[in-house]
Amino acid sequence: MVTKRDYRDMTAGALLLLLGLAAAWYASENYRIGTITRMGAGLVPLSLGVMLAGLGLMLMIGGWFRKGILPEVRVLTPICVFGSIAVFGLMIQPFGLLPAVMASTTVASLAEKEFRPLRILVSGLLLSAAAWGIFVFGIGLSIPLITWKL
Amino acid sequence: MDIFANLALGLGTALSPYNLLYCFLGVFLGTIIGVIPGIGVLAAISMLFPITFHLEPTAALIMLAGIWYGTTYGGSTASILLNIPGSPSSAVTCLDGYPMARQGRGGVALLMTTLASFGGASIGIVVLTSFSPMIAKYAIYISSAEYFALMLLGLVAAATITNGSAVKGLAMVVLGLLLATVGMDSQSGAQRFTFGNIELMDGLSIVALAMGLFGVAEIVTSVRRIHPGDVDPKSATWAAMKPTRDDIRRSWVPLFRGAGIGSFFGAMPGTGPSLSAFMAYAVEHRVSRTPERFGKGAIEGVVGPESANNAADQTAFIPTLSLGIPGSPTMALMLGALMIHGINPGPNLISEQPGLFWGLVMSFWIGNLLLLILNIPLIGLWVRLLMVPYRMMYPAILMFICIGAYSVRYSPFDVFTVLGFGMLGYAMRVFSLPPAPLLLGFVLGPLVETHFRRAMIMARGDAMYFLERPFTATVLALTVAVVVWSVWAGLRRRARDKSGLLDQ
Repeated sequence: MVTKRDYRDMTAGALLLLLGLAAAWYASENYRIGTITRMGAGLVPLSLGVMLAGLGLMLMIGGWFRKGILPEVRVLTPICVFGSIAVFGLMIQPFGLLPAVMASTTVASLAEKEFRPLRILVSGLLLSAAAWGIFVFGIGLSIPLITWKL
Repeated sequence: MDIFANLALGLGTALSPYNLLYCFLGVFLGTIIGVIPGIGVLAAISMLFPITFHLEPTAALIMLAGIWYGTTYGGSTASILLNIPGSPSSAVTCLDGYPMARQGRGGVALLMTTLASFGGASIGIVVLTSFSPMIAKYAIYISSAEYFALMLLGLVAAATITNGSAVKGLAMVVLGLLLATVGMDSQSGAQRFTFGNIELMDGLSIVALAMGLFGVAEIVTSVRRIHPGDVDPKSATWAAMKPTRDDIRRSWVPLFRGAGIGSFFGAMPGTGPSLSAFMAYAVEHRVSRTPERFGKGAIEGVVGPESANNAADQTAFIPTLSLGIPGSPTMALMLGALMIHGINPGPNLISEQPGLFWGLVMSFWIGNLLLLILNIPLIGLWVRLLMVPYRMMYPAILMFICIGAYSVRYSPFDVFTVLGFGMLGYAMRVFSLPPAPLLLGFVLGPLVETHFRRAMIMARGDAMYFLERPFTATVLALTVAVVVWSVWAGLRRRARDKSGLLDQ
């Protein structure tokens, strides 16, 4: 969809502006700025924050004078992909490699918009075997296959 | 030292069974990744990055480098047979490679790209071997002010030259530099942006950043979009690969021209294999006596770019290894791998680690030979790989990313860092902000800050110090020129484009 102004760039610019200002403010509040010859820890983050805010502002202004296209935002796919990583991170220490890989594969597969339990089970088992072969057997990491630490 | 003694040392290192194995593994994985659309070279290298922690530094670098130039070989396969670039640097190969495949000459195109790749890479290696030690010899004398200026030029060039919008590129470099300040400040020991979190004291992990920005974000945009192609396996048989005498006559000059273009742009900051391939195509089109054949299956349009992008792959190592300044995000990851093994990149690298440098250079020859063997007789295998559906691949990639991130220090925190950068990476894709400058800023961040602060101490706070040094002043002037040029080019493009919808 074509819009009169480039709302995508304006939003991106606004976010960068806010991020830059926040970083600059946080650095100046919490770290020593020092002088130009004896710089404190805060000077470089402060100046980078200001630069980021400035570039964000330029992007916003540029977007105001440009036509734009609204980008397509996917909803289901990111939820499944991000969810699969989160599930892995939550399960790897308490439950071990096999449950974590099975669970994250299942969540990731849902992004296909179809649920095929057998296919997911088989691919989860194959991936767990491959993971164990490469990481535990191959390069000798000590990750337990199954454990129960709650 | 004698060049032949160095080459012999390198050959000895590269031919040791341990290094040879990882060289093979690198180019093999690189080819697979290059063939498959939907995983880029950066995602691949960051995925395999954790594995290299457990290797010797030389083997680690040999393997990562193998993946890098291996993808360029593999990338042309999908371009020619499916009209989808397997890697960005092979995008131009689609223009004439795909028409050749439709005319039933796909086999010839595949053979000629492999030969062109080998030729281009060989010339690139010769350039790399001759220039790196020379540059390093002079670079020993340069101080913090010069380093700061060179890195600034590298960052600005990377942010502005190859991206659509200079403002977006620069904003991402600054964001990368800002992310690099997270953790302990190397000069004062103060903790910055850690918010009391112990796991952030060492800074954000480069592995997690690269995996999230390139691996995870790429998967989110590729799921349900990439479909296995209708490929005719017959296009990749021995008989279909035999080039005509006319093909060979037309190919050898573009091969050398492409290699020259690639060698030059590969070594420059901000330009890389993709731009080299585009330039080579443009040049072939311009000098051809029959430009109307281009886009309809002209062999020159395949050979030139493929020779150029492979030459650029090799010469990209010149600034990386002789100065310690990476010109592209991939090279930044190579430096990251070195630093993790406690090796300081810089002009002293070649003299202090001759085994590593010459071993790596000689491994390029071996790797390219292996690729020639892998690509010509085994092409049928790679073509079949194009038929594996993406839905079977992405859960495996995700799993690899998760375990890789976790394995670095057995910390679920690192997995969640990957998740955070994955979200950032997807948001950046939605807003069309380029991730490559961010990675480059992140890797160079600590070095830029250290050299800047050191230079300012030496200058006693006087900014004129930078302009009084001829070398520094020249580099800074070049940096300004790059910015001015890219702003001007952007304005001119917009003026030409009446709809105002460029950069989309």
